[in-house]
Amino acid sequence: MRRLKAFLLSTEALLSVIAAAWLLSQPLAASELSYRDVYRHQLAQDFAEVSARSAETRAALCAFAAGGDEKELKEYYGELLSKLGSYCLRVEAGTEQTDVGCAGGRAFQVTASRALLCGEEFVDARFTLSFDA
Amino acid sequence: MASKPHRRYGAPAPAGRMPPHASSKAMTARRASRICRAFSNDGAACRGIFDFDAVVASVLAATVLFMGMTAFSTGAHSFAEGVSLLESERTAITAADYLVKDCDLGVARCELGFAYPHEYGGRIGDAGRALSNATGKKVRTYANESAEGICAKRLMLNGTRAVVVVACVD
Repeated sequence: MRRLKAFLLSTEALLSVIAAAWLLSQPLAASELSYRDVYRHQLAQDFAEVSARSAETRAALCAFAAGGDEKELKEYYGELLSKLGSYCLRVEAGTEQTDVGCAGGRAFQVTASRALLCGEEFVDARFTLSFDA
Repeated sequence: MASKPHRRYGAPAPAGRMPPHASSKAMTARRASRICRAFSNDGAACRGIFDFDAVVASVLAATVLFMGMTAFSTGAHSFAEGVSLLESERTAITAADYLVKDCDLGVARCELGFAYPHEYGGRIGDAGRALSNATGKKVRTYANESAEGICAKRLMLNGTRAVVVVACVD
């Protein structure tokens, strides 16, 4: 009976030590919080907004959606990405798509889209930013 | 074999077996010595076993306490750093959002009291000072320039071309 009591007390003490160790390790996990997901969504929305508002970019996107050259768009977005950071941008207009700055495999991505009036038709323009995990 | 009846703790000791002034420590020492002799034939080796036991227990307790204090101190320090970094990140992201959408604190174009979000209206230096006053932290702002520190970058339209505006927190 005494041995059982001692065993139970030892187990209780061990559990207390484990619980204390777990509690002490919690603040470390809290430091991994970040606002980066909010920031990433803001950036994707920025790409969509400035592209839809600019008459020049809108015209280039409409031409691209109609099967035109992607070179102008690649240069424009490539220059912006060089100032923003090493992100990968996929631009889709209608059924066409092109990638800018996409070197390796990316894990996290966000998409923003706008409807563009190209002539008399609406074209769906989608901007997908990909980031390292 | 008839077993001896156990005496309850706290009950008076039988006369002649234990002096009335015996302390509980002495009782514990005798008990430890008895347990030791039960497992060993060497009576001399069992002398002082209680003291050794107490020392080991104290060392273990001190080690666990030291490890706990060290872990707590490291954890608390790391947590404080993480919170400080998170706060700077939040300020930078908020400041950059104001840059894009506000014409008092930010650089959005204003006309007749209306703000045009995402349309660059200049005054990037003024925005830095205004944001520093509003947030109570040193906020640096740039347009189309590279920056170091905890920064948030956003896109605005200047005419028909996009510019990168940056808000950094020291």
